[in-house]
Amino acid sequence: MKKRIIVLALATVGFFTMESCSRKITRVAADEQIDISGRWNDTDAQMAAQDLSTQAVLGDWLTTHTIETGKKPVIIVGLVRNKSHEHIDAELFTVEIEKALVKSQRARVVQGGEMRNELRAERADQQENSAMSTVKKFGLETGADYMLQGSINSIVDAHKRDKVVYYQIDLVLTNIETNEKVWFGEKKIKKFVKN
Amino acid sequence: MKTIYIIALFMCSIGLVAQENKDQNPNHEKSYQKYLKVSDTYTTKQGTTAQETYVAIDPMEEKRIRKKIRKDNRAMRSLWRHEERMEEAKNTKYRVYRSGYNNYGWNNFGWNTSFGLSFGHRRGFSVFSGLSSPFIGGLYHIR
Repeated sequence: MKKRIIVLALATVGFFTMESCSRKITRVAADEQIDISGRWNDTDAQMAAQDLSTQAVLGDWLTTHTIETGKKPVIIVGLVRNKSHEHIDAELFTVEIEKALVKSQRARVVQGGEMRNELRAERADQQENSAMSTVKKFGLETGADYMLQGSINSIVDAHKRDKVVYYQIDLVLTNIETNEKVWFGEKKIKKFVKN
Repeated sequence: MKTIYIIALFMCSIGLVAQENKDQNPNHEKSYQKYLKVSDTYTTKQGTTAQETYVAIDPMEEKRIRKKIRKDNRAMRSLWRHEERMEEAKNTKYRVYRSGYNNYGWNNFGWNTSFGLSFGHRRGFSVFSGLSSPFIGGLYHIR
């Protein structure tokens, strides 16, 4: 009888110990808003991406360029400076803008940066290793008309356990030949964090 | 006759090109040469984010960082003590004694705060200085 009670007690303790240690993971919708620390998170990035891509696609600059030149504008993504207090990767929304422009068929996007170097390296490799009928030529890349650049800024106001964080993302599209700024995109996010 | 037409057309096209570029700064070649040399440093960063972040004044965040440092130090303490003991074992001439201990007849009641050179005791001569260590948090005593 005593032995049974001990075994039962151990089993109960063991069950509760295991239960408290077990990690629970559940899949949630990618657009579901979950705020944990109050820092920049996926919800902020998604909001910024959505707003900025809509602004870029619906901007007047696209129509103006098409009327003036009779061609779709060609865009290249430049450098985005993160001057905020947190680590924020701008690629999350610059890629969304590129996708939106290409999907809408209103603009063309060319590759830049390290990926462009990779493409050039592949092209160089083809000159020696690929069949002549399939070799891609140098000097036929599409030159961009506009460059997308931007900055991310933040202001933090904290006192005791309360904090207000303000983020501002500014994107600008500049004509590469004339340096004329043709489009501005901005997204402002303000958070109140109570600890 | 045909040749005259061709020549006229050629002259017109030259005229058009000249008219198109007449506003171009004659020194543009200088600028081109200047930026041609540095273009690589800029183009490789395209599509990326330059992290030029700053540290915001946030008391809660500072508290969290302090707490983390304390926790990390606590986790490392046993390893540091072990390393210390290993060093002591390797080099007996310059021994590390934790202050607060009474070693070899030293008059250590609590903290030993005396500094300077001391002679005698165990090996005839000993180097002595007070060192404060970040991981023990106390005064070190080498002699």
